[in-house]
Amino acid sequence: MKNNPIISDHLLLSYVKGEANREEIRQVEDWLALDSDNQIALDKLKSVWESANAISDFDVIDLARNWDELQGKIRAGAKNRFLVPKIWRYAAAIVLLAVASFLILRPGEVKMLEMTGSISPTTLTLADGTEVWLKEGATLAYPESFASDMRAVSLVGEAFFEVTHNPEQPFVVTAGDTKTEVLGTSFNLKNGEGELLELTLITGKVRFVKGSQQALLTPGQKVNVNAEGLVLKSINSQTNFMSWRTKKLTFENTPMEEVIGDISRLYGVVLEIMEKDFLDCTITTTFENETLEEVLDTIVSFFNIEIEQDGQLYQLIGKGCKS
Amino acid sequence: MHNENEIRLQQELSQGGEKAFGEVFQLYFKVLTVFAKKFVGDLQVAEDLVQEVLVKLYENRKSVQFHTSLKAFLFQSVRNKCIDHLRSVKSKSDHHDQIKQATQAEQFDFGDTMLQAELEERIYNAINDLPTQCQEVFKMSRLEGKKNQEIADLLKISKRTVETQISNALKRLRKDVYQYLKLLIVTFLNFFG
Repeated sequence: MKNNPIISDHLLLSYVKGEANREEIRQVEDWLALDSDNQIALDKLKSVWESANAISDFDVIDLARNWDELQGKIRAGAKNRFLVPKIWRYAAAIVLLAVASFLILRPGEVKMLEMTGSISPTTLTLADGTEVWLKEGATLAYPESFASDMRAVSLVGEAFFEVTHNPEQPFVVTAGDTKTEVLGTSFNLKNGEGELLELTLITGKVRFVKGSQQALLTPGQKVNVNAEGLVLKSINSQTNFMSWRTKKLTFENTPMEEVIGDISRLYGVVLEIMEKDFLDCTITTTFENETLEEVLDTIVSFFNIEIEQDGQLYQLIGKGCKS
Repeated sequence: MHNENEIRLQQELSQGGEKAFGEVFQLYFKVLTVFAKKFVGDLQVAEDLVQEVLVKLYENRKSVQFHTSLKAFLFQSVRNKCIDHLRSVKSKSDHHDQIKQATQAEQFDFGDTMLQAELEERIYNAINDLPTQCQEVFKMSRLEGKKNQEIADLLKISKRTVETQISNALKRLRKDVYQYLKLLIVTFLNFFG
């Protein structure tokens, strides 16, 4: 823009604001007539002056407050992510718990990516749309894209899979020296030190293989590999085994002995019942997305007992229903 | 300058970077909110909508695909969120004016609106950079609509000083902002003030 000494900003601005008197207006219009660039300069000034109104909005927006609100929404959202996903998209659901302390890859395997679960269950979507929820510390090794004949992954730790149905391309999870071939299902796989392999089928069909032993599972059944490496088939009776993912605990006339076990596992604390009689007291209730404090408060009010806390240890004191 | 930074942020975000997300918030929240306000008319509503867009970005940061750029992605997402909001306002409202206003807002040109918001951000940054008295004088004149004599009386300076200060502010604006001006925008300017 030409720095024209004849016209002052003050004058131009008066003109732009509509505050110029007749003499001033004439001066500006003379100046405009001198050079077409001058009109452009005036238009720019007008544009910027008018847009400057927005400064007040920028000033008013409180970044700190908005950041806090945003964090609140993120925390609220994290709780809801534990709800069970839409199973209708997939053929079936199974839960698999396995033991292995190392990942096994087929020789000549394609480059595998790895994902490890953190404190909140980590979700991962594989190349075929299969969704995997990894529990804390669980690691999944998976390829960026699957081979044409088979979809192969390996797992250490606990995870829940919802496998996209594709009979042409079986989905196989290797955990230790076991293989779970998924015939169109979703399942939970858990791997731990010194623990037994446990596969529980919720819906669909799964073929479980360990060495020469094979088991074909239908819904409601589960498979355990015991210390001797024997594959044992049985019925799943543990209602709350998926609580780590659903954040839901259901109790129906459940004895406190079992209740404290489920609560301990979900919240990562140790609950101890001090009076033997209390072990047999039963409770019927559902806890969904609640904090440990809320759960314990409910139990205290149910049974009129006291709870003493020492770090991660919570002692339940009182006879409860037997008092 | 913006591009290198953006690329770094995109990379750090897709690796799950929390710090990168914080940076994205600091860099873009205000301009995105001002942008959203042009569609929805209310600053609080705009803040909420932008927060929600950023929450979703955070939750999906590892898997989000930035086909164009982080900035374009953010503006697009906010706009889409605003359109959804406007549609919901329309369906719940039985006020003719409200519905008419929402319908008009839905038609706003995305590119122009984004450029306008970015222009306003540049103006804001330029003015914010000014020395205290200069900034104060400019804001009193532009935002509070005070006459030069009024400002002079309130700040206990001469009217001449006030005029000089405003001129200084305009010089800064010319230096920092003019290159980004798009004159076609002038007519659109005062829709939501």
